[in-house]
Parts: sequence; structure tokens; C-alpha cells
Amino acid sequence: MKKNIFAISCFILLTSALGLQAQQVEKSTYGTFALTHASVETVTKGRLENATVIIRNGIIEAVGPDVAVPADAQVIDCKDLIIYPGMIDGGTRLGLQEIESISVTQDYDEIGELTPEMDALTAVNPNSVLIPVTRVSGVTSVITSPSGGLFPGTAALINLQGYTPEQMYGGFKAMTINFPSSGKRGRYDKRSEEEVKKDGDKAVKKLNDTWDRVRTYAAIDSATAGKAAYNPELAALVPVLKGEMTAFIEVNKEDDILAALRWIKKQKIKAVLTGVAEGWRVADSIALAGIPVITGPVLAMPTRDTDHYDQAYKNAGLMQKAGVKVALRTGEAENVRNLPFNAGFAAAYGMGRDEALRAVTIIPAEIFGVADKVGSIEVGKKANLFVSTGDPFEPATAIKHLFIDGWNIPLESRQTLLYEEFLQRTPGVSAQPLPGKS
Amino acid sequence: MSRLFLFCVFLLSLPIAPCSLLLAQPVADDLPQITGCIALINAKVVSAPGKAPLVSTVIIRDGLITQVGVNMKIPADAYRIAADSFYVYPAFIDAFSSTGIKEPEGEGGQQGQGNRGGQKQSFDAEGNLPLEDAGITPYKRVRATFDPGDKSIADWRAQGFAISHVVPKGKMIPGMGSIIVLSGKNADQMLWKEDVSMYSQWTGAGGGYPQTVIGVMAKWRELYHNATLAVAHEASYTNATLVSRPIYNQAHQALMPVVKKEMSLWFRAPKMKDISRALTMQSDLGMKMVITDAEEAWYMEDKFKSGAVPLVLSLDLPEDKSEKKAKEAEGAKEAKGPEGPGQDGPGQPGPKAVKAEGVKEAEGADASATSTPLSTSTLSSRDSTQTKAIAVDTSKIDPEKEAFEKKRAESLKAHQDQAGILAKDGIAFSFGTMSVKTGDFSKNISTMIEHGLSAEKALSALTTQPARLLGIEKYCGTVEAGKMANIIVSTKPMFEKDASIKYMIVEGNLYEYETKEKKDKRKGKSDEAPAGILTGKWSYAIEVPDQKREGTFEFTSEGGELKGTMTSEDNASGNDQLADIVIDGTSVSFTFDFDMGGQMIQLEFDLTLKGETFDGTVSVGDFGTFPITGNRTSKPN
Amino acid sequence: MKHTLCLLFLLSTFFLKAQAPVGDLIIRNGTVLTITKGSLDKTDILVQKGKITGIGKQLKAPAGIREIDATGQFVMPGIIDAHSHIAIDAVNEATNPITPEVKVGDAIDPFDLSIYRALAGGVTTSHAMHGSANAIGGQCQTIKHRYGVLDPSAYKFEGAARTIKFALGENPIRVHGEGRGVQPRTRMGVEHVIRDAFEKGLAYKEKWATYEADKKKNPDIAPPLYNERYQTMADILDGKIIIQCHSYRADEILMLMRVLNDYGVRRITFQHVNEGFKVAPELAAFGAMASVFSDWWAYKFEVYYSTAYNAAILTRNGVVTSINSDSGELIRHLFHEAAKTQRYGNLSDDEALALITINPARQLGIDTKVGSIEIGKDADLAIFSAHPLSIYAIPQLTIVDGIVRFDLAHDPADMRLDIDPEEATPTYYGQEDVDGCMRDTEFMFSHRH
Repeated sequence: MKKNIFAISCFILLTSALGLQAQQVEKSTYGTFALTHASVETVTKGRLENATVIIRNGIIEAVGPDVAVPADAQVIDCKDLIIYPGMIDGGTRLGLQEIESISVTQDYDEIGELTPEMDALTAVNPNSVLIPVTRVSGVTSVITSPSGGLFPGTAALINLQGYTPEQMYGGFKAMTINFPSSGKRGRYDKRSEEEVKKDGDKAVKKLNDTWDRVRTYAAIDSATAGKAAYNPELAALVPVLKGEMTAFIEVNKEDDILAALRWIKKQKIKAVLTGVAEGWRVADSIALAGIPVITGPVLAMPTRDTDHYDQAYKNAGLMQKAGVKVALRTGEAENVRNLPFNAGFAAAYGMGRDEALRAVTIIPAEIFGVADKVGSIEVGKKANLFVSTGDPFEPATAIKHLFIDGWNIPLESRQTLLYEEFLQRTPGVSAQPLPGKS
Repeated sequence: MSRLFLFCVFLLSLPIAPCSLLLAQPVADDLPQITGCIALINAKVVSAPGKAPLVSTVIIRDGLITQVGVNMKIPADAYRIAADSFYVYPAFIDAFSSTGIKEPEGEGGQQGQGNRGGQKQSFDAEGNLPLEDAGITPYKRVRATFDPGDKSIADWRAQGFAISHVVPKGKMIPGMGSIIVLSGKNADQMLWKEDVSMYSQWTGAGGGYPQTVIGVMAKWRELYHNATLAVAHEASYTNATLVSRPIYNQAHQALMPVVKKEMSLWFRAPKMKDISRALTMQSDLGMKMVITDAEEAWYMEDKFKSGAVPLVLSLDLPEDKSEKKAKEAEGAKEAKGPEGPGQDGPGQPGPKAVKAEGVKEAEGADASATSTPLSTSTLSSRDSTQTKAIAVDTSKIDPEKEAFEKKRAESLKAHQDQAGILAKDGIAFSFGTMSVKTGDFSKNISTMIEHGLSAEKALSALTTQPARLLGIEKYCGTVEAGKMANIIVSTKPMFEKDASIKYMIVEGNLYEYETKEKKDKRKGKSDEAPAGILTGKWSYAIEVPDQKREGTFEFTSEGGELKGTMTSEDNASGNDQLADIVIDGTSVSFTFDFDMGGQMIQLEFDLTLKGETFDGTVSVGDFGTFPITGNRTSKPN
Repeated sequence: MKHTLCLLFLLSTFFLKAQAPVGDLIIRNGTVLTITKGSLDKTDILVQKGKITGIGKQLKAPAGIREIDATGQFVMPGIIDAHSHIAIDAVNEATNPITPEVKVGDAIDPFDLSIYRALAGGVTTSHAMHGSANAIGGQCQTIKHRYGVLDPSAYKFEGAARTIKFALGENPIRVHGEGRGVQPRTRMGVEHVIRDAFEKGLAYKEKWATYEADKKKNPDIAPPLYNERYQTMADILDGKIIIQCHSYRADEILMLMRVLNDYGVRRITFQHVNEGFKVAPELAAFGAMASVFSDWWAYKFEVYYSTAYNAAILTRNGVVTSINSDSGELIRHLFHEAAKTQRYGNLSDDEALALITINPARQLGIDTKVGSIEIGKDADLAIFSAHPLSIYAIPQLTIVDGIVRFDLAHDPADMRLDIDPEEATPTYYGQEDVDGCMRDTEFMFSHRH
């Protein structure tokens, strides 16, 4: 009987493997495209009806109802369809993690508390199976970020297209800082209140000590014209100290957020708060400080048992209404594709559809300083866009076309290929009964 | 032989004058028993819960109460205690405890620790641990881990307990409980009734089956089922022929009395869910059950109304850890804080400051109890979806915190009210000390009484109820002729503020306790008080009946530390150093140790300085307390 | 004040054991998504004693009955989650590869706030499952979300089928093979361990049958030992329990069907079953059902070759399929998870909604009582502001047995029932979490994976 099992297992494995290999790989195309008869959600300049968008060599060349279609353009009729700018996820591990439980496929958490010299872009795997799965949902760019420790490293904005990190790089990097937390990490954090506080205080001291050293290092470095002793950790932080590089400060708990705001003010650095799960509690303070926020996931549990069940859904909207500049993130790797649904929930629970759309397009682009390139459909911007049958936040909406960096990307991923292969499997069920034990 | 020794011997023959006694420790521990007969003369006797105090004399002989009445002849050999200022109560019976039980050996491991990296546990073919490792030891007896010298025995006795139902320590089924008497020299004397109960709890083995509550529940079903089969098999084997000999599993055999309903299963179930699960098990399997160590029984009051499942309440209460409390504690600490010489007025010693805060705290509690529901309604509406910016930045009242605090206070109150409410609703219960620290016992009883438990019900839950529950009401629980001589002699009616236990009599053995609160002695803190009022030489005179003992003290202050010596014609033991010298305003206390023929005796002096003279008392070991006077003979150099 | 009243109400309903609390009400003028009988515009639903007694336009209602105006809103059957671990205090008895005797129903936690949060997502029934640490785990418990009732036993869904957790693949391998050094260490071992348990169950059954027969001749004959573990296996063999098998890979799914075939066991729902789509024809032929995630994948190796189109492929191949949460977070938006099948596979509205209503009801053996809006069924209903498959739908009201258990208009922030008298301030919890399926196995691992 063992033989039988082995045989059938082999058979299944072989057939599925062959099935995958036999697929003809569809390639992305580049050049000149005319998307005609479309509704266009420009985000920054309102909605255009029956309009045309011309893409040439990666750039949006023209947008409008009266645009002529160039002779060399490949025409894509978008009647009854809507064109949106590609969505941007403000915080993911995409490209740094392939399979969550397998540590050798995790490249986001280096050993050490102080590893600011780690650079996410280095470890981004352009061929991750997760990337096509993500982009077919209309997410065209993400921040991919290291995590763990006090200074996990440098996050990078990447476009979900390309075969090298250089091709993917979106022109923005940020230093990540895990601001010391005075709260429990999660429901299964067994530390006592005292231990939590002690660990928090220790981390605050470490943060400040490190910062003092960075300051000294920077002073020596400029006094010696760049001859300070080799110290990659401190050197990596100097641009942040000088305000040349943005710091992504991960902070979630109410009083930690306030502490982080004070710290930012004191250090006079350029900062963005990330996470900010309890931002709604101190939204006015954040707004007053003028610090932008990348929050999410929206589909998350409340941080306290005494909170409304939907407090996390409402958080982004509450901050935005208080005047905070809010971008969204999923914090995901394999399911960054849920960014539109996170935005949809934020929209439904107070943010409104238009603001939620901005929070995944132009707002993150502004926060990252790349609003001149992405985040809306405007002439001169990069052609990061998708064409859908309707509101991209609605699950029933289908994405019909996708452009990243001007490349017309096939709407294909391993998940769609498996669907095509197995919807009607051939051969189907065998006529014989299942081979038994005896 | 020194003259002081003779003096002490003389003291021994004096009748002890109770009111002025200041004794450190129980009598019976370090002195030989003189007589087996004690007479508590003209005490106010509360013979049972609910009875009014009646002035009576109680005669105790050979561990039994032989007579309770008025105008009776005091036996000539009786140790007479003039008890006319005292109240006499039946001593307490602890319905559920681990008094005198040592930790089982080799079980340092906490629940939930696996065998990862550690030594391999031995599993049988079914993957099960041996009974011992699985925590299934219904055959275990108290005797195996009972330590007659364990400190907890004296500690609980000092709280008024004479009898305790004790269970072994362990996991799912630690073993059988025994009734012990909290007096005696060895296990034989102290273990009164053995194997009277079976004890179980929802505690997994940790690292082996059963680990979780669902494992424990499944294991119980199986054990009970098999014990039931074993009972039937045993009966067949006894009554019929052609039946194979029963071969018992140790656990099944030990549980047979439970199946036969000859033994109750005492289920330790502190929380509501623990109780509910135990009751479900009881109704599924049908054993006789006692719910014990209950902290949240009010949730299912109805289940206990019929009395089919008796209830033992925990004497533990949650602590008030609210922010207000914490702040008060902090405030108290600050008040205690710097007592520099620059401060005006007399330095507030710590305990007083705490007391003052204690008053405030009581008022605070009232205020919160009557706080308006306004804050709650604000919070419970969806309006709180507004951002609460800067709420933390200001010192304004935060409705969210208010509501949280209100719920917390309600929950705290529910725990404190439990005993009172159950008693009012006619549910009989006993108290057990398993989960309470000795130091919290009387405080918690007082709290429960403040929250509506009558003193009578409190007393019955500590005497007659547990006596009935344990089937020893024939012997214990009241002060009546023929009962075991288990008696509390209290300075005031029991559970009243400032009431304290003067004597404990446990099966006729007398234990005596100091009733005056000890001062907060802070060694050598002379720099904070004007040492000058004490330094120099003083003469003293102690008045003992019919004579005076005289001598001198000399006090010096060296580098801020007070030192003193005592010289006396009586002292031949070599030591002349005074110890623990404390000045508190004009009060001075210190001690003097000397060796009396191999036994250390401590004299405790409590003096009040009045300029150039002083008066006060000196207590001499266990012998008594005597007046002392004196005057200064020279100023310091 | 509100809290006090609320508490009083709760206490008064405590231990009304035999009959769970039921209510009367009428829902007016909503769009009724019956699931089994299409959608009805502007329709009323009358509820009496916890049952649906009328569906129609402008129904006459008894005087004084509570009226709920659902004009412009959507009424659907209460959502059913076929896989969760909420409302129980113990998930895994991870100390033996085979623990069919344990029952999570013994550890119901009526205080679990997740119950309320599930109600707030329209979920009225969930299948509280043993975890996946063991090849044969414990028996599961289908519960109704009667949040507020304190008697744990009142949560049990009366008349629900007995169900038991099996688990294949990485989890039992990691816990026992890698964690405890006992079989199974491989998928071969998993098969062996399960077959072994069935064999012992058969032997046990036979031993007792022999005893019962011999006892007729000699009533004093010695009984064999009772073994709850193998008694439960015997119950599975007798078809008294539906197997709910945690599984991912196609090979192991086929393996279990072969094993069950050998022992004549037919009743099974595969849980998670990420590669179910690869063997959908075999599942359909066997009559096995499937309860899947909407889109979870790549969190471990055995789910790397997954597709979010799984539910659609299974449905199209005739497998009764549900979408479950396995998570206290996700259970709050199962309606949204079901909606994803419209993006991934174009399921119709009714097909998508069936994944979280009538289909899970079938898998749990409760489809005659819940899962659709029909006269005679339990009045477990959820009312949404918009069509529940829209991202903009917000649950308004959730009703269990005719009693409103969640009402967005009266939704206090703090819904805790069990208040720690020693907790000074509300505790903050970060988002770090552990895999629900593997709860109570933390003692073996320092990390969640």
C-alpha cells in the first residue's frame, strides 16, 4: 500500500510541477500606450470622464478628454473603466520575506539593537513570488522596511516592477527607529508591569545615549573633515541627525506617541510617525506638531479591552480629521494586496472614500518627497497606474490593466496561474476508487 | 547563683497580673507545662456564634472543657487566669489550608514549563506520564509532607486557629486532606483525623498530560469512570464466584471512596469559571463535592442555596491598586521622606503619617462610590469616537479613566461584599485560609465585616460551619463542657477594632500573646532626636513586689549613635550593653539581654523622660512587667 | 448607571440553563438576503420566542413587540464562523499526538471580549476548535454568541453535531516530532499515528462489545478499563462525530481520505485546506467539505503554493465550502472575507454569502437551525448599513435567538464583563500575536512560528 501512496503523491507533484513549467510566461511591455474612453481619478485634479491617458516611455505624457491618440500608440479601450494612480503602501516587508515561518527567508531583522547601517534595498528580492501577487491588486509601490531592535535599518520605497533593486528603487529611503514602548508588546507578553516599565526606561536611555554619540561623532567627523574613526552605526545616523534623512519612528501607545513628539522636537529631526495605533487619543497633539503619520493595519484589534471594537478602523479617519497628514500601510508581506481593503475600511469608518484614496496615493508620495513622480495621474509623472471596473476598494471590482514605471504588466501571479490550471483540472477525478490500505 | 536569677525565680511564683503583661512570645513553646488544668475566671464567654457574652468561668482539664458556669469552685491545681476583662470565644476552625505542609520535593518547576532541553520525562506506550508526574496522586496523605515544626502552624494559631483541614500540595489531584490540631509536638499528636477528604484543582501537570483545563477535565471523567468500574468489580469479587481478582490502579483505588460517596471531593475553585466547571463536573459525574477557596461564588449564588454542594470561601481579597491608592501611598512616602533637622515641629514618624492617609483614603472611597453616573454615560455613547487629544496633557478628569475606575471599584466591592451577601441570602459557608497570608487575615475579615458580613456570621464561618462540614461538630466549634478545649481569649469582642488575642488555648495548651503594639524601633537614629536629653548617667529603681532593684544606666552618643550600659548589683552575666536604644520625643526604649543559667532573658525598658527624672515600665522575659523610676545623676562630659 | 443596570440584567439571566434566553421582535422593511431563497426587497421578519415566524411584506406584529426599522438596510442570517478559537480558555492539549478525549467545550470562557467583537461583525455562531498541535486533537464546540450570559454551558449550540479536530502537516510534526521527540516527525508519521488511533479505537470497541455480550451470561464478569480516548475514536468510527481536519497540502488531504475510506468514516470537513483546490474533484467525490481562508498564504512553507481563488475553485467543483477566520481579528469582518471571492473567482452574491452562512452551518450540522432566513429557523440575524459584500457595509445590529446582542447605536467602548479588581489602568496591548491554532503550545517554542 505504501507504494501506491508514494506513486500517487509523485504523480500529483509531477503533474503540478509540469503544469507550472508548461505555462507560457507573459512579459511586460514598454513603449507608447493610449488608454481611451476612460474615467480618470486623478486624485489631485478631480475626476475626468471619457478621457484619454497617453503613456510614453514610462511617463504620463497627456491626460484629458481632448487628447489625440498618437499614431504609434498601442490603444487600450477603457470604456466603462476607471483609471487610478497606483496605490502606495506606507509600510511592508515585501521583498524581504518570502515565507513567514522560515527564518532563512526572512531578511528584515538583523541581529543587534543598533543596526541602522542595514539597508532594506540590499535584500529586496525582485523575484519574490509575493510581488506579482501584490501588484495585480493595483498596489504599485511600497515602503519595504526592516524591523526589530532600536534602530532596525533603512527602509526603501520600491516600485513593484523590475529585476534589480536599482530598477525597483522609488527614490526615497528612511531610517527606521522603534521608539521605546512603555506597553506590552501583545496579549502574550508575559512581562509584569514593572518589567515592561524597566525595559522601556532602559530603551529610552539607550536611544538618548546613542543619539548623544551620534551628535559627538558628527561633530568630530565634520571637524576632521570626514576622518572620524570607522563606525558604521553612528555614521548611518548622521544624515538623520542633520535632517537630511527622514526618520520613520514606530510608536503606537498614547503616551509613547507624546514622548516621541517631544523627542522629535528636541532633536529637531525630520520625522514621520509610523504605526500610531493610538493616534486617535492624541490626534490634536500630532497635528499641532505637524508630524505626518503612516498608520495601519486598519484591520486590526483595538489596543485596549476598553476600546470600541472598531477603534482601529476609525483611527486613521480620526487623525486625518484632526488635521494630521495620514498615509496608510498594511504592515504585511504576503498580503500587501489588502491595502485597498484597509483603505476601504478606513473610508467606511470615518475617513471617507476620497481621503482614503489620497492616503494610499498622493499623501504617501508627499511624505516621501516623491509627489512630483507618483501618487496621482498628472502629466509628467511616472506611469504608475491601474485600470479597474470600479472602486478599487470594493472587493467585487476587477483590475483590468496595470502600469508600473510605464511598463504594461500582465495581470498574472502564481495565484492566478493556479486558478487557471485547477479551476477545471484535467485529468479530473479518477474513476477508480481511492487505493486503500489493503 | 546571681541575685537576679533568684529574683527571677521569685517572680515565677507570682500570680501573673494580666493587664500589665507585655510578653513577647507564647508561653508553652519554651517552658515546661506546669499543670493540665486551666481556669479562665469570670470571662465574658461567647459560647457559640450568635450567643451573647455571659460572664462565666471556664475550667479546662486534659485538653477538654470540663465546666462552663458561674460560682464554681476553682480546682486547686488550676492555672488561674483572672479573665474578667477578657472575652472568650471558640477557637477558629480552618476549613481549607496547607498549614504545616512542606513543598513537595523536586517540584520547583512551574506550570507550563516543558521538558525542552531538560531531562527526558518517562512516558508509557500511550504517551502518558507516571501518575506522580501527571499530578494524579489521590493516594497521597498529608502525613507524608507534614512538618509539625512548620512556622505556619504557630502563625495561624496566633490568628486564633486551633483546628485546620489541611490538604497536600500538588497539581490535579494532590491527595487526601486531614484534620490537624494546631498544637502538639509531633505529627501523631497533631494529625487528628486523617484522609477525610479528596482534594483536586484545575492545575495541569506542566509539560505532560494533562496540561490544560480540558486535559484535567477529560482525565477526571476517565478516572471517575474507572474508579466506578473498580467499585463494581470489587463488589462482584466479594459477592460472587468466578470473578478474576481485581488489580487496581493506585489512583482508581484511592478514588473509590469518592465514587462510593464516602468521601467528598474538595474542589479548589477560586474564580467564577473554576467554580462553574467544577459544578458542571459534579453534576455530570455525581460525586459529593465541596467548592473551596472560592473568591467569586456570588456569580452563582443559586447553585449553593440548596446546600447540596457546600461552600468554603477564600479569605483572600483583591488589593486596591487604583491610581488613587497608589498616589496616596506615594504621598505617605513623601510625608515620611526627609525629616531633616531644619524642619519645624516634631518630626512625623512614618506610621502616623500612614494613618492620617488612611483616613483620607476611607473618605475617598466613599466619594467614588457615590460619584455621579455622568461620566459613564458620556463614555458609553459613541461620542467617544471623537479624538481625545491632549486629554493626557491636561490634568482634567478623563471620562474614560473615570468609567474604568468605576468598573474596577465595583468589581473590588463585589469581592469584598461576597461573604456578606451570601450570608444575608442564607447560604451557609465556611472560611479557609489556603490563599491568604497570615498578615492579611484579620484585615480581610474586618473588610468583609465593613462590607456587610455580621460578626456572628463571620464567627460561624470560622467555627460551627466548618465543624459541621468536617463532621467534627461533636468535638469542636463551641465553648461547652465536653468539647475540645479550643479557645480564644480576646481583649475585646472578636473582630472589633483593636481587639487582639491575649491567649490561645489549643486542646488545653495555653499560648499567650503580646497585646500592645510594638513601637517602630529604629536603631540608633539618635541624630534626629535630641540625644542630649538622654546622654549622661541615671540611677534607676525597679519595683517588684515587696522589694526594689536598683542600679545605674549610662548613655553616650558617639558619632550619632546612641550607646548605653547598665550596671547593677544583680548582674553577673558579664553583659552590660543596652541594645535597640530609641528616642521618640520624650519616650525612650531599649533592651537588655542577659544569660540566666543558659537561658537568654530580655528586659524591655519603656521610659518617659521628664527632664531630670523618668518613669516607665520594664518587662522581664515572660515573668511580668514592673514599674521603674529614676533620675539623672550626671550630665555627659 | 448603565453599567449597573447592564450587570443586573446579566446576573438575572445567569444559569437559566435549560433554555437559553430568547426574544421577540420584528424587523421592518429591510432588504432580506435569505441565502437559500433569494433576496427580498422591503420585507419584514417577525421573530417570536427566538424563532423566525414570519417573512413578508407589512407583516402584522403582536402588540408591544420591539420594532426595528431596517429601511435602506440589509438583513442577512447571522454569520457562522466554522473555525475559531475564541471563547475558550484552553486550545491545545499539546502533550500527546492523540487527545480525542479532551473537549474545548469544557473550557468555555463567557468573559472573552472576542465574543462581543465577533457579534459586532455580525457573527452569531462560531465553531470553537481545539488547536492543531496534535494529529488528533480534542473535540470542538459550536457556540452561539450569547454575550452577556455568564453561564458557560449556555453558549453551547443546542443540537449541534459533535465535531473533533484532526491536524496534518507542519503543526503536529513541529510540536511532537521536533518539540517532544515522538512520532510524528513526518507526514508519513502523521498517517501512522492516525491509523494507529483508529486501530486502537476498533480494538477498544470490540473489547467492550465482548464484555457486554459476556456480561449477559455472567453479570459479575470483570469489566475492561474505560478509556475515554479510544471511546472517542470508537464514536468517530460509529459516525457520531464530524472530523474537522486542519490540513494544507494536497497529498495529506488525499492521505486522510484514504485512511477514512479504510475505516468507513465519511463525515469530514477539511479546515484551511489551502491546497484543496488541487484535489477539489477528489474532495467532491468523497463528499468532504472545505473551510478555507479568504487569502492567507505564505506564512509557512505548506501554504506557499496557495491561491486566494481556492474558495472559488472548490465551489465550482461542487465542494461545500466555507470561509473562516481562525482569528479574533478576522472574525469581526468575515463578510468582507467572503466578499473577496468576488475578486478572486467571481462568485455571485449568494455564493459568496453562502460561504459564511449556510455552508458552514452544513459543516457543523446546524443547517436545519441557522444559516439562512427561513420560517422556523433560529432568529440569528445581522443587519448591515449596505450590502454586506460591500467594503462600505457597517454592521448595525446583531441578533441571537431574537435578542439584540450588538447594537451600533448603543455600543459602549468598555464591554468587559470580567473586571480585574487589581487592574489600575486599562492595559495597552501591542499587535504582536500568536497563531491561534497553536495557542497553549508556547511552552515549547520561544517564537510564534
